Amino acid sequence: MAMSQERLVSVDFWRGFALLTIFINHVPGLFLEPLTYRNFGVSDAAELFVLLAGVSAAFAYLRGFRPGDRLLVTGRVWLRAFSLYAAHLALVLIAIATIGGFAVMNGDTRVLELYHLDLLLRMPLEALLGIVMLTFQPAYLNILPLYVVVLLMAPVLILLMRRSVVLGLGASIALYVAANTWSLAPPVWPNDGRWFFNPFAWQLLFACGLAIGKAIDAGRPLVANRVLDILAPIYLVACLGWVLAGFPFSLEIWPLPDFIWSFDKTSLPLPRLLHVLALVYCISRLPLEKWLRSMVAAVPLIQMGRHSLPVFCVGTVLSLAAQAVRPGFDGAFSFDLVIITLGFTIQWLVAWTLEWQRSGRKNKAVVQTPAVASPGTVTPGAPAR
Amino acid sequence: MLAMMAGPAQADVSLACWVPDALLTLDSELKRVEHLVDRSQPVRILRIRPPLESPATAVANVATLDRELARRLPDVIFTIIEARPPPGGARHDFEQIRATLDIVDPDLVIWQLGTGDALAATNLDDFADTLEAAADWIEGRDVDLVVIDPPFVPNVPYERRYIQLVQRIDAISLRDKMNVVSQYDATRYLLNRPLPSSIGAITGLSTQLENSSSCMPELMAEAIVRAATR
Repeated sequence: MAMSQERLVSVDFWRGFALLTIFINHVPGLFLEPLTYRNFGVSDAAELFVLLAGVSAAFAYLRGFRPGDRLLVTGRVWLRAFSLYAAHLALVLIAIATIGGFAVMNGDTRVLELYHLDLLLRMPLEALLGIVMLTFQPAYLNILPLYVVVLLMAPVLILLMRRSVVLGLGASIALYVAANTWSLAPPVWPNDGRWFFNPFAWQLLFACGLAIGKAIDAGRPLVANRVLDILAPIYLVACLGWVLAGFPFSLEIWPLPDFIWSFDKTSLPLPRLLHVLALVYCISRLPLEKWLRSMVAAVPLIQMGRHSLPVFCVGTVLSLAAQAVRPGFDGAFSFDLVIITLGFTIQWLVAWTLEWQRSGRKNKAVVQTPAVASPGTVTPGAPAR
Repeated sequence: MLAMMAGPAQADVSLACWVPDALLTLDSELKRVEHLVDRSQPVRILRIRPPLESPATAVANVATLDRELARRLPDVIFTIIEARPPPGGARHDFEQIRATLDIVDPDLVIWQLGTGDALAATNLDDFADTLEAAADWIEGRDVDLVVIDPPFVPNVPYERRYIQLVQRIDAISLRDKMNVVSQYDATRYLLNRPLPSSIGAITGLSTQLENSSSCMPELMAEAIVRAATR
C-alpha cells in the first residue's frame, strides 16, 4: 500500500471486495458462493470487513484524537455508532417487510423462521424491545450490532493506540483473552445465549486495523520482514490444505483454551485471526495501489468500499430478497446470473450516486473556500463520513 | 408410505404427539450412547440448531428434549449443548460441526438439516456428498449421529425441493444405515390426522404446524432412548 497522503484506494477496493463477498455469501446456493475465499481458508469477509473498518477508523479519528479535541472526536465516533445503530434498525424493519411478504405469498412458514420472525409473532413486544436493545438479532443481520459496540469502545482503543501501538494492542489482547477465557459476551434476549459476533473478542481485529491504519497514516512502511514473508504464505497454504482435507483431525492442545486452536466464528479464535492477518499481510506486499489506481475495472469496488454503510445495507436487503425468491426458480443458473448482475449493479449505483453527490458538494466547497482540504474516509488523517 | 407404518401406540409418547412406530425406529445402534446408558453415565449431546429455528423455539425444544430424555432415563444425566451454524445449508452446518465437535466433545450429535438447502436450491448431489462426508467425519471421531430432516408445510409452491431432499436423506440412510428421525413424515402425519376431541377444538393451520413441530423433541427423545436401550 502506498504511504502517501493521497486517498488509499486499496483500502476502499478491499472493503468493496468484502461487501461483494458478503452479498454472495448471504445468498446460499448461489453458483459463485463456493468460489468465495471462505472456502479456501478459515476466515471470511466478515473478518476482512472489521479489520478494514479499523484501518478506516484510524485514518478518520486517530490523528485528530489529540488533547483538547478528544471529547469532540469521541462524540464523532459515537455519532457514527449511532448512525450504524439507526441503519441496523431500518435494515431489520425492511428485512421483516421483505421476508414477511414472501412468506405470506408462498405460505412457507419455514421461510418466516429463517429470520426468526416467528419470535415477532409469538412475543411481539419482547422481540421489538430486543431489536431496539440489539439483544435480538435476526439471521444475517448481526454484523452491524458488532460494529456499533466496537465503535462505542473505539475511543479508549484510539486513546491507547495514540500513546503506543503496543499499549493499544496489549489492552485489546487482554480484553480478547478475558472474553474468551471467561465467556464474556453480550447476552441475547428475550431468549438466552450470546451474540453471534462477540464484540469483546472481535474488537481485537478492529484494534489490529487501527494499528495498521496508524502505521499508514504516519507514512511508515508496513511491517515487512523476511520471517513474515515466509510464515504468512505458509500459514495460508496450510489453512488451505487443512480446509481442503476436511479438517482431518482435532487440533486440541490440552490444556490450552479452545480459542487458541478452534475455528468457531463467534469468538474469533486465533486460527481465524491469524488467517485474515496473514492474508492482509500477503496482499499488502503486492504493488496493488498503483495498479488499482490505473484500472478502470476496479472503480466500482473502490466506490462501493468508499460508501460501505449504505452499500452494505442495500446489499443485505437485496440478498434477503434473493434468498426468498430463489427457491421459486429452483436455483436456476440463469436466475443466479440475474441475482449477481442486479445485486452488483444496484450496489454500485448506490455507491456511484453517493460519490457523484459528494463530488458535487466537494466542488462547491472548493469554489467557496479553496484553501480547505477535501475530506475523505480513507485519506490518512482526514475525517470520517 | 405412511399407510404401512401403522403400529401400536407407544405408551411413552403423548397422545398429542403420537406417530406410527416406524418413524421412531432408528436404522442402527447408537453405540456410544448405549454404552454410557448401560452404565448410567452422563451423556453429552451436541445439538446443531437448525439455522431456520428461532431462538424461542430452540430454547423450548432443548428444554423439552432434556425433560423427555430425563423422564425416560432418570438415572442418566443428559447435557445438551447447542451450536449455531451460520445460516446456509448442510455445508455450513458441517463447518460448524467441525469447529465445535472438538470443543464440546459430545457423545451424540443431533443434526437437523435440509431446510436451508431446500431454500438455497442446493444441488442434490452436492448435498448428498456433504451429508455423507459429515456422517463419516463424525463417525470417525467415535461420536453417534442422529439426523433430522426438515418439517413438512402444506401448500408450498416449491415443496418439491423439500421432498427431493428428504428422499435423498432417506436413500443415504438406507444405504449407509445412517440414523434419521423423519420430521417430514412425522409432521405430515400429525398435520393430516383427524384431531381427536381430547386434544382440543379446531385449530388454525399455523397452530397445527406449531403443534406438530413442537412434538419433535418428544419424538426425538423416544427414538434415541429406543435405539440406546434395545
